[in-house]
Amino acid sequence: MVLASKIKSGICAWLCVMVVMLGLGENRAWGFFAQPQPAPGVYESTTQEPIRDFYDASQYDASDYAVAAKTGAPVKNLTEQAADLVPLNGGRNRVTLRSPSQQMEVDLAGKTHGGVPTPHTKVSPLNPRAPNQPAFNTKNSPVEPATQQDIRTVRRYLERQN
Amino acid sequence: MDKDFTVGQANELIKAGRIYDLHNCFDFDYLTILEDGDLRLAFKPNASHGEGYSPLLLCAEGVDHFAVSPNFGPTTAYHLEEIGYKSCDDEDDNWLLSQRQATVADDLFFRFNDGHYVRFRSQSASLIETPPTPDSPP
Repeated sequence: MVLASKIKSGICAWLCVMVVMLGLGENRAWGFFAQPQPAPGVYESTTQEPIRDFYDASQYDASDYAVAAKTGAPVKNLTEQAADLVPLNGGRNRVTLRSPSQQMEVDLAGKTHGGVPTPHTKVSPLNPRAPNQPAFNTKNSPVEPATQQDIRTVRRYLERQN
Repeated sequence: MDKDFTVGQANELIKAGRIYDLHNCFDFDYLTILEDGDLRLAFKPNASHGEGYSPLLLCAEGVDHFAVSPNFGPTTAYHLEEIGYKSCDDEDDNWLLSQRQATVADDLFFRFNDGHYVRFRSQSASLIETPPTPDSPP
């Protein structure tokens, strides 16, 4: 009886761990708030909306889902998906997203930096001690390949702007 | 500093509504300090990503503050990381001021790879498109 109870508790704990791990799997940009960039150099906004994971069945998300293969829709790689977003961004290669704690710069197209081809991202933490706010420590922030979630986040942001 | 351009996102200079993405579409060409102390910073369109751009020359005149990172030399290929502003007396370049945060008294700051930088303040600064060279992309 006691043994059965222990086994049952162990299975429950294991399931809880798995649920948490699956939830964290691809949400690298979970902390970001997309905000309007109406004009160069003006990025602050009072209208901030948390980014949530979602799926809207557009071709951009096809690579994430097995159903794409069944529909026969062309599956675009991340480079192609990112390049498709440049016209939505007014022809600009970069999208800058900010949250209260960090900034994410996404280069959709353009040169390779730090050995990382585009699309790539650079996430910089807020420097709360800087006299001018917001200020982000961009100097040593690494360039990393953009993920499907990053591209999805940018696409959602741009679609809201247009 | 009286300029005919602004800094957009940290990768851009903007003049007359045209956006010059120096980070993604241009290569740093050279830095020259003229005999009278004026400064020239040149960028050329990247061979793969600079289509439609002409070479750019940033001309700063009446320079009253100028600094470059140690060992910044002409023989190294530098990659522009970002553009911003910095107060003249602030040596902490971990963070930069944006166009909106900057004042006319601040340095214009060009950050390159490996911590290298060029910063200056001048009476005026202008951004000029120069004629394409034979090796410029179409």
